[in-house]
Amino acid sequence: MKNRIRVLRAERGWSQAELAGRLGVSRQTVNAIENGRYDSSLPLAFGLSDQFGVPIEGIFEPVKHRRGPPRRGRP
Amino acid sequence: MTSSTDRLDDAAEWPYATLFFFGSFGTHTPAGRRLRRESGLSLAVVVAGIILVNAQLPVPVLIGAIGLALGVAGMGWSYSRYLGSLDELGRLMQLKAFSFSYGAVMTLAAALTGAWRVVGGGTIDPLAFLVVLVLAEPLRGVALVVLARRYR
Repeated sequence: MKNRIRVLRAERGWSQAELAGRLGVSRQTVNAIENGRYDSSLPLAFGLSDQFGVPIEGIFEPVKHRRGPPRRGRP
Repeated sequence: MTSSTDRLDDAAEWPYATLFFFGSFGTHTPAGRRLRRESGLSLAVVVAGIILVNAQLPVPVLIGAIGLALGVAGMGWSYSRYLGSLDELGRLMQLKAFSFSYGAVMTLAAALTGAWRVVGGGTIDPLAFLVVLVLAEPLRGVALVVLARRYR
């Protein structure tokens, strides 16, 4: 899942450690979420939303998988 | 020189050596220090139990057996308390590593036990189950390092 955490954090001048402290998680967890290596739980997503003052959909966006052309049905 | 961008984008590396050797995220938290203290004490009780069970001492074997059981239970109890203190990613990594390592070693132990019976081996020493701990713990360390590299 893509996210805007790095941008939102930079806008506020927060380090990963500072954001982690506010959320009550480890710095490595913030790093993994930020790099898209780990998708946070819903409670943590709400925590991020609360800290940044941005709705969840303003932080995360789903990765759209590229799909091939629709299959044609057999005649 | 550290720019403001570096300060904000600080790399957050996992403590690989601690994960491999001790199976925890380190002793920089009170929970980490408690785990180290309690699991060390439990391990000492397990070793004392093994010695009491095997040594020709005028102490009832039952005392050693109870010590052994209490030591293993103490390890499980301190580990479960430690899990409760971790955040969601830390807990996920610990549970994944635990299920992989102990699952793999118990499967191996079951296969070897079956093979032992097929080839007509003698009875199995009841203390052989401790081999599970000896093999599973290093494997758990390896699994934690692999997971830490995945989630960096």
